Amino acid sequence: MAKYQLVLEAGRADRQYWRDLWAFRELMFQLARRDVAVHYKQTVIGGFWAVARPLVTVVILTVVFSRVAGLEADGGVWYPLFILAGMLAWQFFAAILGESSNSLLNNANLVSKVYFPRLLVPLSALGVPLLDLLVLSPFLVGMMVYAGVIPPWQLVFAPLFLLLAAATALGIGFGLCALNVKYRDFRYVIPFILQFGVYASPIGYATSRMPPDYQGLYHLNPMVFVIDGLRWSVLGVGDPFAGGGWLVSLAVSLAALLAGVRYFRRTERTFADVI
Amino acid sequence: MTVAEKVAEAEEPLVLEPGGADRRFWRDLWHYRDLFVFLAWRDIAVRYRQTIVGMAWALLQPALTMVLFTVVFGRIAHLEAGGVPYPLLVLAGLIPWQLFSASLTGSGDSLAANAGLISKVYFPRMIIPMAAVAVAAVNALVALGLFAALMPWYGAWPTWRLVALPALLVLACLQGLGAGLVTASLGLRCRRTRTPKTASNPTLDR
Repeated sequence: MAKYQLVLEAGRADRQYWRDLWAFRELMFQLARRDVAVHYKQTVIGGFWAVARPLVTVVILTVVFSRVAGLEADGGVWYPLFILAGMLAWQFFAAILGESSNSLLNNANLVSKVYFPRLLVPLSALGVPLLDLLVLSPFLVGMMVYAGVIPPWQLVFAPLFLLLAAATALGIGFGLCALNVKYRDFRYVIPFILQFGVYASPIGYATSRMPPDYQGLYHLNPMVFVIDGLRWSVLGVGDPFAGGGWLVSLAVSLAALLAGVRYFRRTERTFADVI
Repeated sequence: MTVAEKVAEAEEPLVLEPGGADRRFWRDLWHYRDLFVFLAWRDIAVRYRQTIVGMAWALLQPALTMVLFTVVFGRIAHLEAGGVPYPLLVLAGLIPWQLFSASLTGSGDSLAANAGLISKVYFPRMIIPMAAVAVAAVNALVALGLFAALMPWYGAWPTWRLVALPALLVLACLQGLGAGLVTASLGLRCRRTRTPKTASNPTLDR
């Protein structure tokens, strides 16, 4: 970094954007570390929320869908475990989406003062969700031990599904945080998407329960494939590849990532003026 | 008449003295009702005029949730509605819940959002969270309009018990305000109390 000489000239950001992104990686880690420190140290309840929130949701969804509605999990898995596996993927997705979509506004001072590839800001929002995931996963392991579930060979694919969740969330997050700079109203939209998604994704119930006439529409939600995939790889239940739905989900994920990056890159140069 | 004129006209001029706010809190609250109307009006105007989607969003949010919950709880979970059309059952529950949660989140964030005002002039601080509840109430009225439009569509008609509706809505507002006053005061001390409401929790979120 010491020998790296930064020359700002017209068109520079376009020509070597991705090289600059790599050169400035240090900044991304720094931002992520700051967010993690704030999240886990300076809060009264600290990392407690990272665990309490999903676990409380698991309890409520279990009561509603298992006790009240009497639904069965795929492959007869213990219902809370079935939900927690879905919740893990959803929470990871939702946290990245929530953090990244507000990231530019939260770092307005930085953005309006110095040059760096702005994409680093929403990227650094990965830090807190990753740590939250690490804090929460022992609970999944504990419940698997309790329920006597042995992970199948597909477990090797679990990171891929988490990567897909992160890519989807970042894609949407890039788009939303760029929109947020210009139209502050998107602040109202994001909590709604996140709350809506809890019921519009197969967290409390299995995808197979969705009536056949809605299946096509349902798979437009990219998290359907991610959640089903994570359950399949960790718990060995269900078949995420049943029907062609997963191709739709995957296509939506990739489209979201591409469109998000594209829109972000196009509007990026005006951030400092508008924010 | 503006607040200033009212104050000037009042028999007792406003004297700030130690303990004054405690002794005449409720009287001052009434006295400053103009400020309440003004703050509420400002927030409503921001919500409805300056947003691109404006009114559409206030309708879209309950409508989308109604459709989703009807599919999830009616078609997937096969829960009984007791003879009522399922979408109506959902919407009738959704309106008071959203009123409560919007009152809670709105009033909870209101003090921090109006910090500039608080640190400068005297007025009963409770006016700020109360104005935030008024915004939630307007949102609820919009959703009630949707409900009223859907009822004839499903062939359902209200009974004389409709007279209880205003009281129930006020109750939801008061519950939201009560909880919101606590989170608002706590929120000023430790900003992170806002966290539980912002992320994806269906139980605590709006």
